[in-house]
Amino acid sequence: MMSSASVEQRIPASSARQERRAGLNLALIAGPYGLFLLAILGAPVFILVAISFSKHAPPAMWSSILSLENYQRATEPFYLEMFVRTLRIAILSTVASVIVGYPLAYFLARSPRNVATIGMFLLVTPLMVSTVIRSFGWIIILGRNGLISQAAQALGFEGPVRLLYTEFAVTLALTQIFLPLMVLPLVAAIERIPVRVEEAAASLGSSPLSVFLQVIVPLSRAGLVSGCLLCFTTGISVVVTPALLGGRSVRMAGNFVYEQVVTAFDWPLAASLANVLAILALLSTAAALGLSPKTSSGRS
Amino acid sequence: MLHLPPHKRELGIVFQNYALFPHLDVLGNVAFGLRRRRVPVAEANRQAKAALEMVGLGDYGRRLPNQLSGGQQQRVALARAFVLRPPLLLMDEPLSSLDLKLREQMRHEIRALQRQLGLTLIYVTHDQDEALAMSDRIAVLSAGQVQQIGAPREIYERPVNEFVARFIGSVNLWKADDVRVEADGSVLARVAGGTTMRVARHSAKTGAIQVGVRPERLRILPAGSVGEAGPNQFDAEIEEITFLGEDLQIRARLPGATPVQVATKNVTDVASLAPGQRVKLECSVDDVICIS
Repeated sequence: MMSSASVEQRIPASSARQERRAGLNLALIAGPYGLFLLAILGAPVFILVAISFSKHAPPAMWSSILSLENYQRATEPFYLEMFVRTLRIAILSTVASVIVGYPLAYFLARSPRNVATIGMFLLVTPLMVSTVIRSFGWIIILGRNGLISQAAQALGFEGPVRLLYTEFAVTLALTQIFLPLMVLPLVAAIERIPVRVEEAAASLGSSPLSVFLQVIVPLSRAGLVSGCLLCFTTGISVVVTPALLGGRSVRMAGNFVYEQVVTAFDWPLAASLANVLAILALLSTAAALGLSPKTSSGRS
Repeated sequence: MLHLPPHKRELGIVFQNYALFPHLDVLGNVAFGLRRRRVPVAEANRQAKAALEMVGLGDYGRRLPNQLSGGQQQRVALARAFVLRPPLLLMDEPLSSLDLKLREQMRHEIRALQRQLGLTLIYVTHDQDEALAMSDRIAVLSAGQVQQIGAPREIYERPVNEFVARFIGSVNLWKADDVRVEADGSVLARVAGGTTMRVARHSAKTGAIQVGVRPERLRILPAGSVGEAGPNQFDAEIEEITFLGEDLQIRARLPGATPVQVATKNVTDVASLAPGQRVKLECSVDDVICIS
């Protein structure tokens, strides 16, 4: 009895020591990156927040008077509409990436090695081309005398087809940019689902669509959440794509921030717009993490 | 069946590694197939619960598969398959990842369940004991070819070829170099070393044949015993005795150095046997296996 009691007392003590050591190791591994982040991200964010509460006072960049004026301006209908448009485009292109990306990810995850390798290569190749050049590509396709417009007129549709400088053009181009960001985490998640589980579902009467919805989607939710997060946070902060394909009418938050910084020199307003954008990104991340499966019970 | 897509085959499958749905609890796993057949939730859960009770997991409905032991997961996989009452249930080495004790227990449970529900099972296994213990009929396959189909006893006692004879259980098998048909239709086969074996008429074959006998069908008579001289008696010298507690495994040699295996219960009669001892081996005519 004595010995068993002392063993029981020893176990929690040693496991606590192990946890402390694991914590120390973790700190050593994450520490350098943490310091790096603090220097190049933490400090600028702090300065940005500070500027956003100051007053625009030309010819100085900003005055040291504290004010909420910039945030009042950032929530005027004009800017609200711009934020709504930014959210709409980011959400639509993320959803489009899910719709196009999920079947593609499933195909790649279940392909034989060599097919999957070629597919992955084709998938990430566009990442090697700058978004500026890809946007010019879309101009060639979507422009007044572009491929689609010419093809439509050849088929008897009247006049040039207006696609360029629309939300559609921006959403389409963003979807193309997002596809690898969506597919890669999905492939990683789907690859871990045993094929036998799919076969089991089929043997229990699940049609291929039902296997996908009842088995693949719930078991790859972690990949879906990280893919959506990558696409959405990129989507609300893009600059180049709406600038080239959206023209004057489809400007997004990034374009306004850029304008205020580079053209209007109103840094305090730019800072407050950027902060609103950052808060939107943080909120969506928090929501996504709330949605992602609790991995602690998922481990065996 | 091959022209139907898998989900329309109505073939129940129990997989080797269970393939439970990790994101669904035990009840959800068992109710899965019912829900795909559009059985209302309440009814599906009721049937799933009943199926779980049949495999002794009535209180485990809310657990996730990874919170169960291997044996429990196996039972869930079983319940998930039979709850749909499939006309045919395929079990692919369902017990191969369980330990020996559990495997034997599950054999009985599966057999009992099969009888109770009147299920038709195709049970794939590499374990000969499992096959013999559980089957009504066994099909022995080798390299994709069916070698023999029959009741366990038939497969064991009347194997059609060397593969079946050697695959199920162990066997002494010798090539016959001289085969003579007797007047009564039985066959006398002489094997290397000069030992002759009489094969009963109903199992006799002629031509190039092999004859043999299962180790446990050989009786050991002490040398010089005044037993009646039966038709199949051979002189042998014991080479090695392996002690297995309940059983003894004896390796001996017939005249001409032909090796022979004998298996016997560790009873008083054989307790004094020792290597080097000369004995007589005997088997009944009906116990001689004859394959061409």
